[in-house]
Amino acid sequence: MDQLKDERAVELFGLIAVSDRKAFDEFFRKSYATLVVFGCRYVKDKQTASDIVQEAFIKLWNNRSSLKDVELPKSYLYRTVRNLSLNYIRDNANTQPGLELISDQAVAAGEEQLSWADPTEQSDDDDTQKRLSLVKLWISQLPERQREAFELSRFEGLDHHEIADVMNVSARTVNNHIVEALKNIQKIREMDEKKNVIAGHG
Amino acid sequence: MAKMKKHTDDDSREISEFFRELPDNERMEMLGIWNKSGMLHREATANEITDEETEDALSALHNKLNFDSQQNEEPTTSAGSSSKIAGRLTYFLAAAAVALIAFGAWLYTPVTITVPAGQTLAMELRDGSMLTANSGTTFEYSRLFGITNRNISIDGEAFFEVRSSDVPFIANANGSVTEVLGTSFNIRSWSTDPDRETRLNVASGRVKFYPQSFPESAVELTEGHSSRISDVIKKPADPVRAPLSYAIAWRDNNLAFSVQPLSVIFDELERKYDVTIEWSEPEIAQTTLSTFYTQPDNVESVLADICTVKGLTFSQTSTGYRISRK
Repeated sequence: MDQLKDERAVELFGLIAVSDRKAFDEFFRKSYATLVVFGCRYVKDKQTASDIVQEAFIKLWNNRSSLKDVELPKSYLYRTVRNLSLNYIRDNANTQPGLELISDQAVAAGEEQLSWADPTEQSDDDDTQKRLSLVKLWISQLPERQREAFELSRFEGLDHHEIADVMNVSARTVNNHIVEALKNIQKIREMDEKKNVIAGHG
Repeated sequence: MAKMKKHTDDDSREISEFFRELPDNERMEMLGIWNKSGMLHREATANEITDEETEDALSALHNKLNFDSQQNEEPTTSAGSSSKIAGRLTYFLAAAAVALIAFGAWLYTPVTITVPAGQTLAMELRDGSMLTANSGTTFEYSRLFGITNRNISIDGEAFFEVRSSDVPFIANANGSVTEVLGTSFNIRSWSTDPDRETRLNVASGRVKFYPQSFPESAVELTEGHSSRISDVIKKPADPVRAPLSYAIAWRDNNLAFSVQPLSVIFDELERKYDVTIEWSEPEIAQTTLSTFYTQPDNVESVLADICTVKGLTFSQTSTGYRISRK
């Protein structure tokens, strides 16, 4: 699936504002998958996330007359999905599973010494998968706000201005969250390494 | 877009500093994680949702929006829909009568637009006048606006730049009437205001202002003057000179209040930032405050300042904030 370019997103918003259904469909096709995966990180369930993304697009269509002034079309949808997801979590607090499943692969990968500074980029698929699950595991251990900011930056490719818009905080706060997230990832890695050393000698 | 990219470069300075300060080998590792985390996720996303699932969701969405049954659609502009009706007239004479009745009924249903909380709206009306509306404002006008009349109703706050014409431009707001030929002015009239006050500030030209129920009490306002009508004062207040900059601060994303109760200020913050603000005792909302903020970054910094000044404290709730005494 091709990523939605910023310029195209702005164009599409302009067309949706004047009730262009084809533009609406194109926007949906280009952003549905990323938004569902994004929503899943809050509601932990693909079907719920899909419903939420559809609801976000219903809101988009119903508010189309006011889209002309939206400066950051991508963050507009992320923000709507985030708000709807947070509402969903609030309203369904007791049905939320308390534990997140950590994949076996991530646990196994955590026990190996994988190098990240791999300038040759010749890692095979298996290695890539291990890295993916490991980095997911680390990120899942971050404090909520830091995790959100880090994921919006690295996973969704939003710039800090857009992340600030999604999270309803200043760009400066976004910076702080991301720097703190990096520091925490560094700490978690150090702790993992120490554990491996102890396990190796014991 | 170019402007935004520049913004990003400035903003990311702290992150590059973080990397720069690390020891060499550690930096390579962390940069590796940073770069790969973006790349890996994009691959994973593509694998998790298939094109087929996307299409299924899109058709489900079309059903929810009634895209397949034309008559359920409520167009925001008249252009698209009237050409559709013209097409039907050519092909189905029998349907013509039905279409005409539907068109007639449609003509008499007014257009209603509500600006979502957290956003403002600027639009050109059909007569060439410009309207800028603040967050949460609702306005309504006839589909014949700009053809047979120039009447518009508003609940909220808006700045109008009215194009000169022989047809009077009439803005109705919570029982008040503002009548002009060609001028610019700001109306603030929230039905949620304790006194349902309508405040009018004139930026240019000459404006007639009166309560709907008592047109004889009309006052005339000129540039730089302000008047108001509310449930408490039924006749328009004598126009006074008032700085326009306060009245239209919202247009530049500033916040300005002159001796307003906190309830009014909280209402404004709720609409501007799309949050709910509650307070522990009713007395809190009655104390008044004058304040001017230049483009506040977020609601928390504004609340923090208000709380400091008024000896209050605030905590976060699931949908917004709760204010209580210290």
